[in-house]
Amino acid sequence: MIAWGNLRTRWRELVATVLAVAVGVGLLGAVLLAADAARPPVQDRFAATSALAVPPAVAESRTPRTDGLVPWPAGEADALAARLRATPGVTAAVPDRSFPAVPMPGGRPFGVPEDREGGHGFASLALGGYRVVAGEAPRRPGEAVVGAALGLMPGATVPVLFADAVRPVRVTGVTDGPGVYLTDTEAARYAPGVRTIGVLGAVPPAPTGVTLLSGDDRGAVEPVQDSRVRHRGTQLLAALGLLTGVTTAVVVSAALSTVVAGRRRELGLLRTVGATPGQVRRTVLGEAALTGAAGAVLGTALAVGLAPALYRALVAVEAAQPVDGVPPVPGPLLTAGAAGVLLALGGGLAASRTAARATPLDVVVDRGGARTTSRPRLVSGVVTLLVGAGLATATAVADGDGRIGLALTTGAVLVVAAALLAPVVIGGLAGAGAARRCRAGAGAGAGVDAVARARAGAATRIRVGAGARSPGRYRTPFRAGVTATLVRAEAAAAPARAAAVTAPAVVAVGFAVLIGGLVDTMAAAYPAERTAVLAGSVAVEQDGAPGLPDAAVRALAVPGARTPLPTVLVLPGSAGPTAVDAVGTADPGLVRPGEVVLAAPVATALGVTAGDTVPARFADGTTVPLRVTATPPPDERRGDVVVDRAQVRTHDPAALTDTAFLPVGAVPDPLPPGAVARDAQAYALADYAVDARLTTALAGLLVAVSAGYGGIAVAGGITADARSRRTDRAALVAAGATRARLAATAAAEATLAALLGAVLGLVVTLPPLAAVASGLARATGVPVLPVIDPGWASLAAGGCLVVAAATAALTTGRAARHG
Amino acid sequence: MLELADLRHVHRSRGATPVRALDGVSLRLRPGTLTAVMGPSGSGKSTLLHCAAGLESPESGRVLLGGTDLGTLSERRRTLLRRERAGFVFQAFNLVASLTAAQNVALPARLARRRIDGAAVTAALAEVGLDGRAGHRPAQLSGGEQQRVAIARALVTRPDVVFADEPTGALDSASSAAVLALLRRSTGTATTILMVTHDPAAAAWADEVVVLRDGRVDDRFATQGRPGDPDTATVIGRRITAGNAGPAAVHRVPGGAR
Ligand SMILES: Nc1ncnc2c1ncn2[C@@H]1O[C@H](COP(=O)(O)OP(=O)(O)OP(=O)(O)O)[C@@H](O)[C@H]1O
Ligand SMILES: [Mg+2]
Repeated sequence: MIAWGNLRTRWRELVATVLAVAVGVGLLGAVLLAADAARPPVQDRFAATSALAVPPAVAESRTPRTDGLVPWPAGEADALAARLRATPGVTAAVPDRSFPAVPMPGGRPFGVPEDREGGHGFASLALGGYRVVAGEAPRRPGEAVVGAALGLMPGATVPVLFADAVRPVRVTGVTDGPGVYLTDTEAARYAPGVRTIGVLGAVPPAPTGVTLLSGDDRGAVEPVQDSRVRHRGTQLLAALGLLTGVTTAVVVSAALSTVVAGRRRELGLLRTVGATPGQVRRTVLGEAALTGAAGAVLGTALAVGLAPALYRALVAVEAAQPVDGVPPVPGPLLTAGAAGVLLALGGGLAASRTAARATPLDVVVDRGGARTTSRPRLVSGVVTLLVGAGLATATAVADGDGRIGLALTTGAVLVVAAALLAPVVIGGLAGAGAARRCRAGAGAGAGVDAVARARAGAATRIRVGAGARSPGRYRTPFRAGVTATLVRAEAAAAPARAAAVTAPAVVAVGFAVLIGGLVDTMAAAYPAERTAVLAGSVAVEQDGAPGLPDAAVRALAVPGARTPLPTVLVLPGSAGPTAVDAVGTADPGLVRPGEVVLAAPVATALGVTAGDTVPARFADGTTVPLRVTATPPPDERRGDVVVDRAQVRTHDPAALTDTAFLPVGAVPDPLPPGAVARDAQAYALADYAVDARLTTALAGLLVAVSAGYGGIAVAGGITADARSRRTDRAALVAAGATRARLAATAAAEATLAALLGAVLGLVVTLPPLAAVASGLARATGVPVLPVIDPGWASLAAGGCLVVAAATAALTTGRAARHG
Repeated sequence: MLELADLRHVHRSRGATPVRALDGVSLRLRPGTLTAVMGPSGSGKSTLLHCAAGLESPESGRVLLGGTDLGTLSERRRTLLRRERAGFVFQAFNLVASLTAAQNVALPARLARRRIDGAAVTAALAEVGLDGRAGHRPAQLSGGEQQRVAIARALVTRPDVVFADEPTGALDSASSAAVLALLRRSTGTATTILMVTHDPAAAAWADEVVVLRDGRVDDRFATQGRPGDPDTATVIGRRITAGNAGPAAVHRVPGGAR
């Protein structure tokens, strides 16, 4: 009854909370909807399958080059396919063998440049439901059925780029599907390892150790270039979700605490007329739930509107594939709405505990909110702080993608800790200030008294002549300095209330500085180290194709040339099978067949030392013991995991050299057909500039969200606070304060609280940034310093201060006018 | 029945000098009587009321409400006892702002999860002259009207004891008289009333007047004549004023102060 009544009549006070929940749910819903829309679609070439059988995935992937599936060796895949085929109802089970094959009609590459899966075995044609529309199946090596889009007729011959060379292929037939379909025998030579078996007909039961994907789940098998984009999108959405969740939790709980603090007198009244502390607590919780529900409803509408914009932003920063639309599916919206209600209830939990501490006497004596920080808050604040410290340490020792994720989590946890402990800090600072003033005899205590008395005066409606002590009796003159006295007195009297402004400011500034700092720290570490090693060399690439075939690499093998052959190895790691990027190098001085060189950080992460022998699983599914010969410091030029080039080629016939690096002046003329040469350093810098632009755009998106949200919350907190303090202000007016004085006091108070939040926000970013810097330094072998972008920092902090001061002055001015 | 035995209380707040608000107050209130507590501002009247009602715990002394020692009860049991046995009217801030007058009156019963008759609520509001204002929220009522809603709420549960701190402080003399008559009438159903007031006219409705000074019972006397009689008010007024002039002028009623 009371919760509902409050919602109806006190909605102005609760607007801040409802808005906070709505914005949170809106963002969270948009994130979930975008994530749902970004789920990979089933590839066209698997359209006819009922299910896809895939091998188990690695426990940990330290490379973006693979979907993490550990390939089956050819024999195992064929045996498995036969077994699946034997299941009643299954009409076909085809091991899908895909490999790079780029048709080059007239010497020009045809198709998506990054596509490493343009070639297939003829049997795979059935998986897409494709038909041969002219001609017939290939019978011999060097024959193929090709996509009709090429515009070729059976009998024609077309050059095709394979991993070993560009070779002429005789077209025996044309299909309505895309790609190049060789005989299955020849396809097995290019792709001995199998990562997918397509099943047609009934969905068979999954044999042990095999995952059967059916329906939309089949989308999980996707081309590597797509999964790279999606990986980026997933990370971004996860970061956005994390920031939104933490921000909402902090903001909602601050807003509810403010509301409860401003209502202490009424809660005392409830206690007087017979409400038990439990009933008071339930009332506040009920209100939180209703507020959360209202916010959730608004938020889902917001999410539906926001999701397409968010998705477009993802596409713009190359973190998602373009789609036709982001449908407002109910699942993500319900999840976001439920999260909103839960967050509101969670925030209400702390507020309800405070509320339950209200005593009947609070009706008579307005103590202006909780004076002391509750024990649970203090304890959880300290615990959170410790967790944050632990995470910061973990961040420093993590590597790769994990480092950034951990840094963000560390930042989020520390932000929460700062928000929890803000009242303690405010109380401490204000107390220290007041004590100093008292010792100096400047009458700060009298200032506190004046406010308390003025309040008591308002409470009794100032009974003239009844001996109510008027503020005038105290030697607190309303002259210069009194604003400071009042502000300090107020901060000391109600740290929890000031915290309602400080906490969102911590969030806004903390996240803005953290994200800006992460981008800048990485930017400072990355290109310098990266491009220095490229100075004086020329990068040679295959135009319009995913890499250089071996024939071209041989033609480029001048003295001093580096032609790394990248592949993925699965090595035993601490968490289980771990996929790592490896390069094949034809440098007998460095590695010979059967050996591997691991960069020190990788060796540490895998838990191996020089002299150990590790079982390495190659792309063809065979496991080869490799002896670790050395664990030198990281070197971009060399690579982190180095094996013999010929050994890579043996086990990964589909591997392609992305780029060959040649010394300037040693570039052969003419270049191999289709190859192009660029100044390596300039090229890397240009490449990095694109990358940096994307990263900055992503960071901008995150900062805009968290800072904008924090700003709204700061304004909301101040508004709610101003409403709940009308009586105080009326008392001050009665005591002779002008409206301008009130506005100045409020603005100063809010600015101070926001400033403290900004400082705390800045402080909490230091551990994760320092951790990332030390991690980067370890991984690259170059000293890296944490960078705090003064632009981001001052923008976020300044924004918060301006918002705080302006909102406080405006709302107080208005509230004072309305009495 | 309400019995206070040797109550002593000192207000202590951080950074301020402690204030001795009650300094050994003993009172026994018989069922169905109205007792007025008077005394100068700051003499401890509100503190006495709060201690008697169990809103505040005295530093020493005992409070027996209907034979139950409040000091031995947990906070929760004290709340339940209050809910069952007591009603309150404060100097100000008596109503929940978001509830209507009727909802405010029904609040104690609703909190106790007891069904309360809509008719009983309406009748209680009518008794304080507020029939037709049941659906109004406190912000739509005058200060005096709010006070009357609070009195209706205090009486609607027919409590054993009603504690009232300046219940007529915000009322004109006509509504004051109506409210006091109402309080007086409720003593007929054995309700005991402890009322703080500055106004001799209000005290004239009481059976007995207790005068506090510096946290002690300075004077205690029974009233004569018809409840609310202006002459009684004059007598009380004179006696209080005389008391203010100094201890020598006080005429104690034999057996008044215990
Ligand atoms: N919470 C408190 N903290 C400190 N001192 C207090 C507190 N409440 C009351 N006092 C002091 O205790 C003394 C008695 O206060 P009390 O409110 O009981 O007086 P009162 O008789 O009700 O006065 P009035 O007629 O003005 O309402 C006063 O000196 C008052 O200043
Ligand atoms: Mg009083």
